[in-house]
Amino acid sequence: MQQQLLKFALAGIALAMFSWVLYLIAYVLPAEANVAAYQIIYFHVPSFFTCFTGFFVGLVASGMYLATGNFKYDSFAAGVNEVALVFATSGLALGMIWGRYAWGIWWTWGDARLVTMLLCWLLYAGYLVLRRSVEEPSTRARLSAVISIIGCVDVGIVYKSIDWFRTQHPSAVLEFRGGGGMGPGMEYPLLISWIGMLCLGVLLAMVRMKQGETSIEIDSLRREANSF
Amino acid sequence: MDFLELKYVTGAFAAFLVVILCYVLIVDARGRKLRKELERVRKMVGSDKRE
Repeated sequence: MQQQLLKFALAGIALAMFSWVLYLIAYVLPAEANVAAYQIIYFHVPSFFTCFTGFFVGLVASGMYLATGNFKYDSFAAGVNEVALVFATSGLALGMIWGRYAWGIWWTWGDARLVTMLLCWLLYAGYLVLRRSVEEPSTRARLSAVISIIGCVDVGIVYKSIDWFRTQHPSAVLEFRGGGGMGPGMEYPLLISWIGMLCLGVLLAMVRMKQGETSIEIDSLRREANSF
Repeated sequence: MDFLELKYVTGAFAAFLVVILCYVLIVDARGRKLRKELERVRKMVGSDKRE
């Protein structure tokens, strides 16, 4: 019952935050924000913030699994990484649309951030494929944890790629990264959008983990049935 | 905002919604399948115990 309430609360907060951002974009932000490049960024950048947060939480859970051997952490990491991959997908899709508008191209192999992010996406997609293909639980959990750690190293490279390589992507813009900022009062909608996406992500991860528990219950019942 | 910009913004929001909704549908389908399987296995275990 408490979990249900929490899920409704998370969905409500996410909806409220997205509505707030749309309202800010449409009516409050200064005129220079009223261009497609900015409006797409208010969903594109928070998608990546959310996916990186998820991958980092997945890394911690994977590390905890390797340290303790407790399958609870493995199941948690799998759920969080799967949801984070969904946000990575939306971030990439929005980024391609932004690129088409701002640069006139959907994709370029010459941009370090795009390529490292695609690599990151492929690593985590591989993580999910691996989890489906390895039957033995401890081998699956160990290999998954290793891929999660490698994936998170790539997340660091994606984050720093705009500092290390001067390619197509703009250098750091946001103030907390040492950039010039987006303009007065134009960065906080990013935070609101991020909070909304985090709530949505936590909600999806909770549903995903509940399914993981059901899966474990089915496996244990099957073992019980086979032992008769 | 001209028509071209509106097209990109709408496309971007639609892409975001499509990705999230696709995942929600996948999770929902998986949940139904798991619930059905759990019910089936529970019945199986119950009938085995009675035997």
